[in-house]
Amino acid sequence: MTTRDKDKEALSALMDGESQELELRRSLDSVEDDDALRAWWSRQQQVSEILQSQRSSQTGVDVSARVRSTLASQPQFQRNPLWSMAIAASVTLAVVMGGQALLPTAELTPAPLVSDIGGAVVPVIGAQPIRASFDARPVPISTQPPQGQGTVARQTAVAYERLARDRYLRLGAQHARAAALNHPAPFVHSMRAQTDSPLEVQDSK
Amino acid sequence: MSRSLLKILALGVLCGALIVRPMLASAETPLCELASPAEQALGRVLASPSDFSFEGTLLLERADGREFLAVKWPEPTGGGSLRRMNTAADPVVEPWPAPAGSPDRICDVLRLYSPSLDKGRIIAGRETDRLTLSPRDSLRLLHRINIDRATGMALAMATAGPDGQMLERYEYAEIRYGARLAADIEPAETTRHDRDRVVVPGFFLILEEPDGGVFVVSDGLATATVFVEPLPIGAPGGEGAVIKGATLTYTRGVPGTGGGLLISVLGEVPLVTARLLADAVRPPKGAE
Amino acid sequence: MVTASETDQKLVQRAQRGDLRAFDLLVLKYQGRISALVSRYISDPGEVEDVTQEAFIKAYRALERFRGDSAFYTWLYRIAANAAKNHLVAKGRRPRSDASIEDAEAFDEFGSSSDSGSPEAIAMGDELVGVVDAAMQALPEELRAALTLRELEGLSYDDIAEVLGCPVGTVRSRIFRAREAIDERVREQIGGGSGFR
Repeated sequence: MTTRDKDKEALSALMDGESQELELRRSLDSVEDDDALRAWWSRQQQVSEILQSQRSSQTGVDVSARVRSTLASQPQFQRNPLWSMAIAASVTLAVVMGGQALLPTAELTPAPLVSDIGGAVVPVIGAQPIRASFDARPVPISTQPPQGQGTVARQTAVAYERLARDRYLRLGAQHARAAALNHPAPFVHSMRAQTDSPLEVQDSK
Repeated sequence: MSRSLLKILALGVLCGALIVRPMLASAETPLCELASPAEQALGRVLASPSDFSFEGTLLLERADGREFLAVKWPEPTGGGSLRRMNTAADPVVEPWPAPAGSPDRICDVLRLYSPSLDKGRIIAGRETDRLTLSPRDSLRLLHRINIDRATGMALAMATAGPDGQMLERYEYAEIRYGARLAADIEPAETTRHDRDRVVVPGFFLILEEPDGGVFVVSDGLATATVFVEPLPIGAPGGEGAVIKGATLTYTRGVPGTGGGLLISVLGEVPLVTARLLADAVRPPKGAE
Repeated sequence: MVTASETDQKLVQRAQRGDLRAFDLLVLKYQGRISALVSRYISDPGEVEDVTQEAFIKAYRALERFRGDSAFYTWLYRIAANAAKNHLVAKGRRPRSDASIEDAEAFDEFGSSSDSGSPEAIAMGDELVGVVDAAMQALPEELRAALTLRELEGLSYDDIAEVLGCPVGTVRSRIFRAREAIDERVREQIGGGSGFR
C-alpha cells in the first residue's frame, strides 16, 4: 500500500469514528497541505450522504479555502480562546502557605446581612439588591488596571472572563455534585447542577 | 511547621478536648466537644436532614432570579428528590444526594467558623433559632441559618460575600415532617476528609484525580473544585472570574515552556481562596 | 450504532482546541448541506457563498460554547439558518421559504433538501446519485457488504467484524477499498476537486 493509500485509509477510518488519537493527528498532518487528500475526503462525504439518503444536497459551493484563510489570519488566542476538556496528566496540588492572605483574628464581626423582616428579600445594607438583571456576572480581579494598558491586555482580560463563564457552564454540574455532600441543604447544589442552561449562540457582528 | 498550620492546630485545641458526646440519634458522632448552644445547634443542622423524613416547598433566590422547589426526603431509591415548580408544567423528579457522614466534619467547621446563636423568626409556621457562622479568616463566606427549633432542619439559609453582600438564599414556605428515621440510613456517597492534605489553610483535599486534573477541597461546609487543562501554545497568561449566586468561577492561564496550564476553580469561596487554590496547582514533572 | 455526531466528536474536540485542520475537515464535510440550507433563504449564488462562509466562521468562534448536547450538525444548522435570516433582515428582504430549525432536529443528521441549488446543480446531483448506485452494484460482494453495514446500518467496525466473521483490520481495509473504488467513478463525474466544476 502506498503512503497516499495509507493516508486515505486513515481518513476513511476517521469518517467512521474509528480513528485513534495518534492516527487522527497523522491524518490531520497529511491533509494540511494536500489538496488532493482534502478533495478525497470531501468526495467521500458526498458519497456517504448519497448512500444514506439517496440524495445529494451538493450545490457546488466550496468555501473551505476562504474559511481557512480567514481563520488562519486571526491571532491564535483570539481565534479560539477556549479549549477542550483534555486534561493535563499528573498535575498535583501542593500545600500553599498563604499566611499573608489570612486575617489573623478569631472573632470577626460581620457586617449586617439579611434583615429578618419577614417575607421580603431585603437588600444588604449599603450593597446592591440581590436581584440583578444579568446572569453569571464578572468579578473585578483587581482594583489596579491591567499591566500594559493596551488592546492586547484588555482583550486578554475579556477572554479570560469569557473562559470563566464557559467553565462555569461546562463544569458547574460536576462541582455542584461534589459540593452537595457538604451543604446543609444538598438540594441547593443539586439544583445548581441542573438548572443552568447553555449559552445560546449569539450572532456576533 | 508553618505558622498557618500551627494556627489551625491551636484553634482546634481551643475548641475543646477530644471528648465523644452523643448528640441526636445520628449515625455519626462528632469527635469534639460541642459545649455551647451555638455549637450544638451547628451539630444538629449538620446532622440533618438525616433525622426526619420531610416534604416541603421552598424559594431559592440568586442574583439572576428565583426558583420554587418542592423537595422530599428520603426517597426509597436513596437520597432525596426535588421538582422545580416554576420551570415546567409537570416538573420531573430530580434526585439529590444524602449529605456526607463524617464525624470530623463538625469539628472542622468549628475550627474555621465562629458560631453564634440568637432567636430567629417564624419560618414555614415553625419556630427557629438563627445560627450565624462567621468565618475566622478571609478565606470563607459567611452563612446565616434559621434552624427549626424542634428538628434541627435548616429552614432558611443566606450566604454573604466578603463585602457583606448577600449572594444567595433559600427559605421554606411550608414543610411537613414525617417519622423520625432510623440511624442506619446510608448516605448515597461518603465524603472523607483527608486531613493530612491541607491545600489551602482550612481546606482539605477530599477527592483527587491527578490524571484527570480534578481536585475537590472542602472545609466541611464550603467546597471548591479545581480543574486543570492544558493551555494552548501561544496563549498569554491571564485570569478572569464570574460569580453566580454564591458560586465563584475563577480561571487562570499559566504559560510554560513545556506546555502551560489552564486552571479553573469553582466553589462557594471568596476570590482570594480561589486564587490560592490555583497557586497550589503544580504541573507535571518536566513540564515547567 | 455509530452516529454522525459520534464520528464528528473527535474532530470537534480538536477544533475546540484550536486545530484549524480539524475544522477544515468539518467544513468540507458539511459545506454542501449548509449551502443547500442557505440557498433556501437566499437566491443569489454569490450571497449564498458569503453567508455559508460566514456561518462556518461564526461556528468556529462559537465552538467554545458547543457542549455536545446536540449533534454538531444540528448546532451548525441553527447557526447557518440564523446567519441566513440575519442576512435577509440586513438587506431588508424576506426569506424565500420558512426553513425551520426543527427540520435539522427532526432529520438529526441530514437536512438535505431536494429543492435547493441551481437546476444545473440539482441535475448533477441526481446524476451523481446514479453513479454512486452503479458503483456500489459493481463492487465485489465482500466490499459491498462491509460498506453497506457501515453506511446504511451504521454498525461499528467491531460489530461489522462480528457479522462478517473477519478481523477488524479486514473490515477497515474492505471499507476503504470500497470507497476507493466508488471514488474512481465519482472523480470522473465531478472532477478531482472537492466540489462541482
